[in-house]
Amino acid sequence: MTGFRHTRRQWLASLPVLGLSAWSGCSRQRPVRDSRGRVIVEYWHQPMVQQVPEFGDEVKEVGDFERFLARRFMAENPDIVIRTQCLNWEDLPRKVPISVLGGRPPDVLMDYVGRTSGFWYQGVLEPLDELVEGIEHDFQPRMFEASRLVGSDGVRRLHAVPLCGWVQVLVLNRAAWDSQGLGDLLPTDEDPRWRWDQFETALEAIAGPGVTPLGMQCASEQGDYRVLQYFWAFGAEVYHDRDYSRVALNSPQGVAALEWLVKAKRKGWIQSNVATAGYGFFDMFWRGQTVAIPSGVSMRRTYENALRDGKITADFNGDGRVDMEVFYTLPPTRPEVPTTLPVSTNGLVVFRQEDPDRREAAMRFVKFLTSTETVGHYARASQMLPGRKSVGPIFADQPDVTRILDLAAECPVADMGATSPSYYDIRKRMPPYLQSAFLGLKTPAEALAGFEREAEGVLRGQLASTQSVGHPGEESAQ
Amino acid sequence: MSSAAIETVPRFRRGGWMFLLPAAIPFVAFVLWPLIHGVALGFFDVQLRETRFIGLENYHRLIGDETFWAAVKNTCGFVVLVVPTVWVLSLGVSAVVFPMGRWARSFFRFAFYVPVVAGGVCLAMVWLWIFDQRYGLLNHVTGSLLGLEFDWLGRTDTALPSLAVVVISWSLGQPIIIFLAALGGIPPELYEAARIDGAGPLRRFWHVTLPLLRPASLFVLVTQTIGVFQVFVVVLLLTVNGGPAHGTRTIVYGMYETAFTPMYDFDYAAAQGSVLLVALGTIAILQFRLLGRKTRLD
Repeated sequence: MTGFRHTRRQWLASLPVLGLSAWSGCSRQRPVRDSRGRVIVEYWHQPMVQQVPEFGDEVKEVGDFERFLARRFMAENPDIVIRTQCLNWEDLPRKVPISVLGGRPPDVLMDYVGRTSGFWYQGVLEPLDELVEGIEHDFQPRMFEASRLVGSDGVRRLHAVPLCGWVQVLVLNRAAWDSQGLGDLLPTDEDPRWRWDQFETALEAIAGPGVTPLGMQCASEQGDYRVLQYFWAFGAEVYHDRDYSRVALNSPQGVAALEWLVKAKRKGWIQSNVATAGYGFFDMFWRGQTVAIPSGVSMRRTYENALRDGKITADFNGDGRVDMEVFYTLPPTRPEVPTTLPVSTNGLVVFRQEDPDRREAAMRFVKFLTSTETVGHYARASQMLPGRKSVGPIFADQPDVTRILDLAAECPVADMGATSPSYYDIRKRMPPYLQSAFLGLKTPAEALAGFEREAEGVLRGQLASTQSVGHPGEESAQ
Repeated sequence: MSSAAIETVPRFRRGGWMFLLPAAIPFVAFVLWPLIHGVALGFFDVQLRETRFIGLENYHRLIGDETFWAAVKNTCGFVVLVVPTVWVLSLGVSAVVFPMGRWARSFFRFAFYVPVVAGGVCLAMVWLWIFDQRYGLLNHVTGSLLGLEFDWLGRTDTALPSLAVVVISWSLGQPIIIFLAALGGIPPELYEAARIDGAGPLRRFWHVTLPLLRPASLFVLVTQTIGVFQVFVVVLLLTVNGGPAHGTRTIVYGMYETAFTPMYDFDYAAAQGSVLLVALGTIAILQFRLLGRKTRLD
């Protein structure tokens, strides 16, 4: 029994230490300053930039560019220390909300406004209008408007400062047609627009054993805009006239679009495993198994990386040489239907700050990151559209990109509801219904009706929640 | 009783509690408290900044949630496919291996237990390659023998059975060890007596082995049922979001997706967890009632 007394004494002696450890471990607040008195700012970001040739060895891996920027900022602001963290695509939607719930979110986050808008509606972001005072006109209007959301006070404010964005076009591997003498079926360099019948003829001509021309993914909500592009081609809409209280995809146009997609799969125009296909269809593109995929104009940079990594093996005429030529076209639409394109915006948000010093430091850092110079670096490195006009043209060396972007600028923006409060909730529910249609488990009409029914349930719940806690349900114009 | 003995008992009890603490503290912190907290969470609406009491609203929502019921159906499908198969296979393997020599028995015990040690993630990745439509071993075999190739994980009629095969492959090890140990506990005299009475191998197995393995069988069935009801890793790693068309979505996967993909619906996921808790408790009690009546667990 003496042994127990001794153990108890030891336990008692260690209690203060244990208590201190528990207190420090469970403390919800991060320290504001480091041991040298500098204000700590945590910056989490997408893996958007991999390599920036102009910075040589300094920026070779994902995350290097942000560390490089942080070093430059800290050199100019010695009272602030920036801690960067690169989140991969899977972690972005999970880690950030968990960190908010745990009371330790990052101070600054760079992400897609379709995701950051959710944080805004939860009331955990700082409005950022003060950062753009006097320079509002310098931001690309589509990106700027997509970043302005209604707050709990009913006033529209800037929740994210736009950094870069992209617009979806249809990317072809022109070599697939050229190598078989079918190049005449494609639009021209001068006018990269399709007629619908021309599009179908080109697909029919190139489809065959080993080639399902249209690359598509509907295993999950990721990349849903690629499938939706064909709905827009038929004049269908996800939301009608910015009414986010109901989804409008279940319409005669929507049913016609899905019927076309299902038929396209049966004809061998879409890969047979489309119901479970994820990003693997990019590899199919490199291998020449698909030859047309909706994507951004960064595809040429992606192609160069794939070529360097030895991933390109497309060889249509069996001469042992790679057949790959990236050709940007406007996505086709049915006659009388205007081309509608999704535009996406990546922006910087600041999470609510209790400490005025850290708030000030975070704001200063965002201002630095959204300066014309930094936005230019980001845009050039990621081959995305710069959020600020003052960056100037960054695709001057690629006339085809300039041409397609000029054409895209004239097209109306597709409304995916990206900054509406239920965006992710609704978005996530669509793929299983598309899969049912592709697998023949449901007719296209049944699939869209099922999706509409489920979405209605979500929106009803959202509406009730909004009314009870006073969150606005409006979305900005895109 | 002497006065010294009277003093010692409470002191010993206190000491006993101290011995329990190293196990009890993690249990309370990481099992009991999260369990209670999880059940309570189901009655609240949890937003990132605020939480409000909503009573049974989440449970009402569950009733009308087609996706949840699809997950329940798939989970039951898993249980029906996996639990009896594991029981039959592990019992069969044990019955074949038990009479073998010591070395052979150890080898088979080791061979069947390896998947348990290897872990679900490693095995799932191996099976992912086996099932691959283009390069997979399975399609290579079916293609060579039958001229048929399937997208095993891409069709609703083959995806769930394929995942069940994976779960079965890593679930056999433990039951085999348990059955082998239980077989070793059956007195040989009972078999001798049965043989003298003219019972053949099948009758001996049916009338001697099976009844005496009832406690082990009950343990295997209860633990397997609980384990299979919690199927998650295989769905996460071998499918995309429990697809295609929710064809492989299970209750636990649904909870994970509801809570941790960008829906942030922690309270609704907690309500699903509470339903699973009640269902598992009920099934375990039923199994004990039905199979445990004639079972002496000592």
